[in-house]
Amino acid sequence: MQHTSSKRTRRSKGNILIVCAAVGFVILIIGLWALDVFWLHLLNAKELSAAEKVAMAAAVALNKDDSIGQMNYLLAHSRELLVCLRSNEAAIDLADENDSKKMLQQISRDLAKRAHDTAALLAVERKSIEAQRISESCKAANDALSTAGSPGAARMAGVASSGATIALEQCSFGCAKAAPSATDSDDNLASSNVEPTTYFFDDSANKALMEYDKKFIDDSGKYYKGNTKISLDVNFPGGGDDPDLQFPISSLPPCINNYTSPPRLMQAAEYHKMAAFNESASPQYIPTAVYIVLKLDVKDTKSGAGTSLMAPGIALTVGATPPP
Amino acid sequence: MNLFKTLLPRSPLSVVSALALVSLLSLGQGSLSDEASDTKYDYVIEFESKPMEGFLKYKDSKLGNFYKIVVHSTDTKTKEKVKYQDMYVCSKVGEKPALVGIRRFAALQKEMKKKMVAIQIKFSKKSPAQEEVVAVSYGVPPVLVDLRIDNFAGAVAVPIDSFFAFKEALNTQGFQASAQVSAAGEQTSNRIPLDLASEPKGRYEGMVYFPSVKKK
Repeated sequence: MQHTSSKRTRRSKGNILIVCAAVGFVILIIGLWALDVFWLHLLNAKELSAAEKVAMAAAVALNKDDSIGQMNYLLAHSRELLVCLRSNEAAIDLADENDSKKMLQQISRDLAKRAHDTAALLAVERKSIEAQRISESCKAANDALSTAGSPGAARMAGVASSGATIALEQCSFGCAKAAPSATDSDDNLASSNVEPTTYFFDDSANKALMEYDKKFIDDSGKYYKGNTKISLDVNFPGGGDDPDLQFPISSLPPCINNYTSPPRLMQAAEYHKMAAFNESASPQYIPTAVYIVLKLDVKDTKSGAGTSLMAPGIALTVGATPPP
Repeated sequence: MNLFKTLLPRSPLSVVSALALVSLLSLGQGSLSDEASDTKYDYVIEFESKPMEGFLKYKDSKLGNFYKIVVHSTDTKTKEKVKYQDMYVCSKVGEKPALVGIRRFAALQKEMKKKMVAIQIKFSKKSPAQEEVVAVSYGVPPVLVDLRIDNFAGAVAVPIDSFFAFKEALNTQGFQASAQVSAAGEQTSNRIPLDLASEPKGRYEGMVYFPSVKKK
């Protein structure tokens, strides 16, 4: 009996060892899997952080030296010059057919023609700035990802050394919405940095312009809407002389009390995607926000199996500096 | 004597204006705003130019340096000073300088109707760059038009060191010396007159708007 009993005990002990080994093996597998998942989460967190830094670098480059804000100011002021000269031309009374009055009108006409040509050249320069800003922003995004000195790149260098490769998958441009919303509408965009000057004084000659300009003013009543063409069409009293001039004002955080808004990260719901550069022949607006996506390819060196992790970064550029 | 020869064919108001300018210049530099009540001018329009350092500087730009001209109007009787407008002039838009934009703060046509008006030019420094002098000259014609300065001589006082450069710049914008226009056999009485004088006094040129005189 004793023999039988000791045999049973020995058999039980063996079973426990096998069970322990099996459980240990399962725990090891789960542990390795958990480590893998943790590692992927870590990589993804690092990638997201890098994406934000890359987006910020690209956004800062978009409005370097406030070229967007300055061009906005200049476009609005060149339009105001044209309005002044055209209204002067129309207002100079010709009733008495005074020679000097006619001459004054001729000066005004000559000045208006020059102002028109200048505004047309500004439109060409605005396109040039648009192309440059987009190009420089893409370059800044790539530099932020690859330059050793960049904080984003330094973090990503750690990722790359662990058998992963990182690349800029997407770099697109847009602007901010006035209020975050899921709908992507042109009617809900953030304002520009330009105040319509006609609101500073009340003069009968400018009332028509104030009335005409109402559709271009934002909800605050203080600035022109963002991404708006403040063109002077035939509906403007005395307008219609400059149909080729569009005056496209870009959306940009205004300078308030001499405070320039710093660049900032945005939520996807705040971002409005604009048509890609050169996608359309119609005048574009200089973009003020950037949407980048980083792609992280992770590959198992032994099995060859891999996965791709995507991380978006969205940022709004620096706001306008004080008016010149 | 030359001064009166130039002004004689014009309206009596022109003569009054020129006399007022001479009396004004005799007050010396800076006197226009300080002692303007002693003159016969009703208003003094002050141009003050400021270079806009680094404004719209970017690679391959076709735009040159920008200058801001801050324009104030002073009523010589009440001494009330009003901000009239800011003008933005670029020293090179493509090939030429140009008035690029304007920002208005007040409408003064009604107040200045049939009044005696003098324009005083102040540069950012005593010896401004040639391009600044040229740029500021581009602000004068729009003000003449805006204030309807058509029936008497619009007197422009410019620092003596920049007198000839300023005169040359006005030439390129269609203002010619009255004597030159008369010599070409053209009448000057029906033209927009502009009396350019140095400050302090010493140089003077009676000019008229005659954009086509050089073609004759």
